[in-house]
Amino acid sequence: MNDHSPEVEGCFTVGAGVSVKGTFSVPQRAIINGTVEGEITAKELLIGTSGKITGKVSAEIVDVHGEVNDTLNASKALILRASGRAQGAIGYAELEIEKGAQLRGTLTVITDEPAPAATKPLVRSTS
Amino acid sequence: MISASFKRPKMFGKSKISADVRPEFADARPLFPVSSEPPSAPASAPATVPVEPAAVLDVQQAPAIKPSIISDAVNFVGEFRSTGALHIDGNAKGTIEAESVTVGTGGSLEGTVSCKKLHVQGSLQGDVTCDELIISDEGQVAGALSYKTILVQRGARVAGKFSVI
Repeated sequence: MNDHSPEVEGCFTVGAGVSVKGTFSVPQRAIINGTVEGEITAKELLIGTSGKITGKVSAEIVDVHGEVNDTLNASKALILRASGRAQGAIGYAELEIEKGAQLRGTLTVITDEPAPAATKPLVRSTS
Repeated sequence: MISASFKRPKMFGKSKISADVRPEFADARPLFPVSSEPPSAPASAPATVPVEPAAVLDVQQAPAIKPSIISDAVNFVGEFRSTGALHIDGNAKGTIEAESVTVGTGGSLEGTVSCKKLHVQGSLQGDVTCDELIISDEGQVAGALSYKTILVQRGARVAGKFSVI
């Protein structure tokens, strides 16, 4: 619960049962256990088992245990876990899908060129 | 005070008595009663008999038959239908229907595939309908895919339309 520790700096967490709407730009890690509607840009995105995102999602690494609908872009890696569900337009550079995961939609491979997700300069303080 | 110290030996005498009692206790213990009456369990067993394990085994053993192989120097164009397994190490183009299809590491397949189990280690382009789809780390798949379950190993290149049956 220390908000000033470097591990928490630039991170965004939505707890289970919480629902938020809007546009979120997260310089580091976003952990979603609740419901998010809108746009999320992060470096790392973890969607917990109870997490659900509807909207535009883009991150370098996306780990899906929950549900993602609409648009999902993972400029580095996308991991869809056994409990994960992804639906919509999905772009990735590296992909892993565990057995049991549900995937519906269009998959495209993002080439190594600067991905649209990385156009915004990420403000990060690496200590 | 003195008389009390003399009473002690009597205590030891008592312990001897209890030692004599012990064998009697051992005899009283019932050791595995031999009864000719069967327990009630077999009576309920006939009710579960109607399940046919043989039928389940048949389905599982079907893909275990010798697979048809399109080996690495072979170019196959056309229609392939089998109730067994197909292994592709060469190049195949066309329509394929089988119980299980494996596209090997150097193999490539272009066309329409419908099967129960599809394992892609090489490259596959086209329309796929299957129950179980496995794409290995070296696999490349592009096209429209319909499946019941999917597993993609890290490193695989997958693009196209995905839908669940």
